[in-house]
Amino acid sequence: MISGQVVVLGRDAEREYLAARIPLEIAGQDRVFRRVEVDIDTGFTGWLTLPEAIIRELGVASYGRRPTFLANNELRRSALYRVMIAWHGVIRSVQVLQAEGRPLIGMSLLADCRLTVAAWAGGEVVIEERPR
Amino acid sequence: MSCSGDDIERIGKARYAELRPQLEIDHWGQIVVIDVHSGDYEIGGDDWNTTLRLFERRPDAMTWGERVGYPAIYYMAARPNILIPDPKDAPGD
Repeated sequence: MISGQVVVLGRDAEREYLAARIPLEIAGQDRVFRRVEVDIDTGFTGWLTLPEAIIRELGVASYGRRPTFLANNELRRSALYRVMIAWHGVIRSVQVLQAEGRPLIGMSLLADCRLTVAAWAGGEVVIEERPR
Repeated sequence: MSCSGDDIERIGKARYAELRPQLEIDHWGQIVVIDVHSGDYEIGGDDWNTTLRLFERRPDAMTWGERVGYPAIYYMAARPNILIPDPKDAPGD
């Protein structure tokens, strides 16, 4: 089980803007794992996005580009990398798209998991493996 | 061999344009991953495994990918910096 917390990204007069956030252990070429806080985006069809600064720190080389459609209807060419993550106690190799802003995990990584979010500030976020 | 992002996109799209007529008949909705150095390509159901198969033949591949018949492979719905209103954008009095 992986657990995290709902955080407040910002607020205006009418509402709070929340994100479901978990810690994720990520390693690059040096195989040294670093903890990165990632937000869950169920509208993202890929595995993981990381900003350029973290990718540079991980020391991984890009092996291509992919067309990515953003929420504002912008079609963007995203650089593609491979990193290792700790996921439910197993080291996995996953594809990363470079995108600025908060690191995100998407539905490809969440496949075969149950996601539970208590959607209020400080609420619990739980990702469980699908029962076998 | 290094390659800029612009080169990867330009060469990858040109190769995809050559392949596209037949791919749209036989592989609509599937992923095609192209090595921009050799023009070699692989087709499959998902980007990750398709790319790995291409790497088995072309370990130094620099890749461009397309989902046949669609504008993008990946979609991102909720970029927080897009969704959250910036106080600077609030209408003035």
